[in-house]
Amino acid sequence: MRKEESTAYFMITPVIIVLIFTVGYPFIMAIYLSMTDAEAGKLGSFIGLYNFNQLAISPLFQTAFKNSLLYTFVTVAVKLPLGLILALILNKDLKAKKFLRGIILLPWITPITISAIGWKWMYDSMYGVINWMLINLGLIDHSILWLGKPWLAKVSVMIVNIWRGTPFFAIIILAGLMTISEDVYDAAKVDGAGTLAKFWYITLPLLKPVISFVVLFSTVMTISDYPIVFILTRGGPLNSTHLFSTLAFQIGLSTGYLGRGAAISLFIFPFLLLVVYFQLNLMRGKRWEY
Amino acid sequence: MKKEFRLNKWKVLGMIFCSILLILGSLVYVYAQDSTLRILMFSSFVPQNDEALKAIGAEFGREKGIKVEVDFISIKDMYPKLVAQSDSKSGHDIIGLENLLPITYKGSLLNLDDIIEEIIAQYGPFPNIAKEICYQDNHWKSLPWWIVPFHSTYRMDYFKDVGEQVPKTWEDLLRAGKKLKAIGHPIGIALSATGDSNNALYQIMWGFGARIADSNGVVAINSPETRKALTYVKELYEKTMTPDVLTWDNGGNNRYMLSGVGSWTMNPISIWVIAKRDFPELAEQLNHYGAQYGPMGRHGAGDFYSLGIWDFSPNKALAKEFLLYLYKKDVMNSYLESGQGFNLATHPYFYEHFVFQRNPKISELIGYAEWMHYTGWPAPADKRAQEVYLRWIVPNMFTEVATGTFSMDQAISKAEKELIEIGYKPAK
Amino acid sequence: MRRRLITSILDHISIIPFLLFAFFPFYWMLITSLKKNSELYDLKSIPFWIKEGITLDHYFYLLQKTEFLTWLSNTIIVSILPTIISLIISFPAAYALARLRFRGAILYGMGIFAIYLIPPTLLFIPFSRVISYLKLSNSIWSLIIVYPSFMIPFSTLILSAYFKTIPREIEDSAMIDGCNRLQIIYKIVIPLSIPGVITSTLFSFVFGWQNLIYTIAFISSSSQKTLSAGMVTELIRGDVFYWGSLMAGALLAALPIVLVFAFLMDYYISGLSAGAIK
Repeated sequence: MRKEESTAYFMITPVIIVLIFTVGYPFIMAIYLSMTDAEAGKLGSFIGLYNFNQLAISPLFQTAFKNSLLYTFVTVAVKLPLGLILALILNKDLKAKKFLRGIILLPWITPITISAIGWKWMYDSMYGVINWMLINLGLIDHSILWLGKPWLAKVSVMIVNIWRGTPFFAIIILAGLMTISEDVYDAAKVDGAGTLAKFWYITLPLLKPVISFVVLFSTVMTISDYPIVFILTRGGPLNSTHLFSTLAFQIGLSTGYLGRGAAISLFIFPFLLLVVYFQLNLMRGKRWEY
Repeated sequence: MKKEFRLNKWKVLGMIFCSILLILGSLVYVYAQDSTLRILMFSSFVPQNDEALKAIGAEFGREKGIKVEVDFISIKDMYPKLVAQSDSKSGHDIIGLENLLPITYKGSLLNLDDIIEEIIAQYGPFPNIAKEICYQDNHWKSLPWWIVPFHSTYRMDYFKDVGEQVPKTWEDLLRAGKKLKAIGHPIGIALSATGDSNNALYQIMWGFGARIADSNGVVAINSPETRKALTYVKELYEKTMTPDVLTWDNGGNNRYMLSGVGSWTMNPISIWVIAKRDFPELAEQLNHYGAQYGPMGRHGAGDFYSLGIWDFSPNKALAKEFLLYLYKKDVMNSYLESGQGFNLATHPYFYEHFVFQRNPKISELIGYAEWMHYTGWPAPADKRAQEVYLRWIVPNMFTEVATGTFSMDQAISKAEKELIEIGYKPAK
Repeated sequence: MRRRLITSILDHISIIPFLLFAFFPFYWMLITSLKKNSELYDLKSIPFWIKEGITLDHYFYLLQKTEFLTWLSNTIIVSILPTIISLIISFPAAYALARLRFRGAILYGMGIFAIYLIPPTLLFIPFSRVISYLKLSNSIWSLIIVYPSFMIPFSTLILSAYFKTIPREIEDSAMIDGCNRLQIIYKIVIPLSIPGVITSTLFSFVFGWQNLIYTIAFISSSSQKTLSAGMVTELIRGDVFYWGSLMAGALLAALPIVLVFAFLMDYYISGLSAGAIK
């Protein structure tokens, strides 16, 4: 056990050192900033949790809070099954495998700012290709204001997030699938397992660490997702698509209330820390508990 | 089978060595910059503006025997960039400031009283709006440079078809708009979370005498004047506008007019300039008019641009000289000409630039700065006004009433609560 | 035989909706990038077809009138170097997290991940201070130093997840056969985890490729900008969007990576299946 421990420390130390040196100071500064009344161009003084208190009672922040939770929950809940299914399909022996796997990745690889701008025009109520398709297919008779009505706008930004994020899930899970060697399945077949049983009792458990990782990562990334909403709606209409990130940009960076902006960004930090803790436990599996 | 990621210690050492070399190299590059004047400006709608500024910088550099670097950035990205520069106390020497940014950064901007006094001595006083925005805490904090007015852009032919002249008052607009919608060419004013919406709606508010707060910072939005404005916009939306306005960003009305459907909108001349390039027949029919008249006078809005110098700049004297240089007659004239009428002067001396005399389509805009207020007026020009603008409080209120999402009382009361949250004093 | 054929057909069909959903925006972007300006604003035009003739003007504008190629090379450098650094550093850490028992493992994991809990739109402020203190402002080196901060945690954790996917028994039996830890890593773990390694490398690379906020904060000169920053500054001016060139830029910025990935992925998979376990 001793030897294993020291090997472990030896292997993990470079990461810790690099992170402390590159991130340590900014990380602490950011947290400190959220507890000051700093403004752009003006040094602030320490005010403890005042910013957080003010946010909690602010209707605008409460709206952004609810929006963020809804946005994250729905998109991750959709991306996971879609990504899983896609990964399973891509794992099979398809013609033009290389081509397909590449194409599937396109939404995620294109710089997010530019693809969001593209979607903005696709959603345009007059010129947009989506309305054009729906009208010409006879499904609607007048153009839909995708980005103009609160609930429609929420759905619209979620669709872009899902479009972009599903390949992320799919490819990461796919690599996990590829790591599972054939022998494991062969052994199961010998024991008489059918397709569904193979999937349920072998594939899914083996994929657990990969799936938990990608869900965790996507959740954290989506909660702080910023370009999609910023470019499509700026948080409107009527604040219906405002998220933590866009609100923090608006109050912190554009208006210049840096302390408040930091507090918005970090409001759910403790909660996220808990989520990370639980997911990491899930990933490592109970066997490794000390 | 290839082992792609096989690295041995020599390769690692080699990479570390190369990195150190490159870091040293870039340090030299960075240190060599110290005798340069660095200017950060936002990329203008008219690319020729950017070229002109670079040329002016180069000319100035030649005269003084120094290097001048002009960098461009998009307006949206300017905000975080300024935060980074002011926080780390390093960056450019001269920075472009939009609207109320001089107020946000007044603590970090160099006082420009001496050069402004020189300009006033030479050309005369600045208009009110310049003083309201750039003069803070008893000092001039930024140099007013140019404005982009938010005026009307309209189709002469459609108005002729319904027997109307260009609308000069808001009432005219409502009357003409109804007829225009009837022939399939509605008007459009953005009712959404975008700058265009702020700029248009504030003008309507002021035209009816409404305001968010008074000059003492007391909330004043709950008033009969506000209700008049809201009633007006609701009717305007229902009877004269296309519903697409709810989805518009700043480019939305451009696209609307360029499609040929739109008959009237509020926008600087960018629509006309693009039309000249791609749709010449449409461009022929476009025209512009200055600020509209309301029952309570003629009020305009737009974007106001000034230049500031960071107080931590290592080249303060040079930077001041450059700002003065920009106001030399031929320099200012050549810059305004490069904009082809997009940017207007902030100083009366330069209002009647030959760019406007030459082209009847933009002659109505001369002297727009005299009608213009910063968005938030008459409330004091400070961070609160900036926050109201950025939180879309006015557009939200009007949108809620126009679409019937909330009743007028509800919408006004919501806006009032937000204004108080932002820091305005409650009315007694 | 017939069953295999049916399954195969079903597999191919089931991927079509995904393909359409993923790909139709790009088809639309491609058409847009080839349309004349007058057709772009024409309400009667068809989004999926070009009526007035193909034009390469947008591509020419992008490549000649903007510093697109400079931005492209900057972006490549700024994405590759940190990715390699991250991979080297995170590989052993990932293995330790996945396989080795040591005190405080969960804490280490949380510590590594914690960086993601602070959004870059906040983190860039203190980072700017550090960068300007190091006098690296306006140099692509500022990005090369900062990027590992978000690449390393990702690499470490995802690699450790992939390592966990390899059944422990394989390594245990090798240990019984007398291999030491290093040999196991070389002979078993690395070969088996190649898809994971490639994926994590690719994704780290793409994170670097896409990042915008740090570029905006640290870099000003056009010659030092990355793709996203450059395109946004030059091709969006006020309320005018240079749609054609923007879409052209989007495609040119995405396709090379896609081709590389598609090629890489399959090349290494072929070596995977046999050998390693036996």
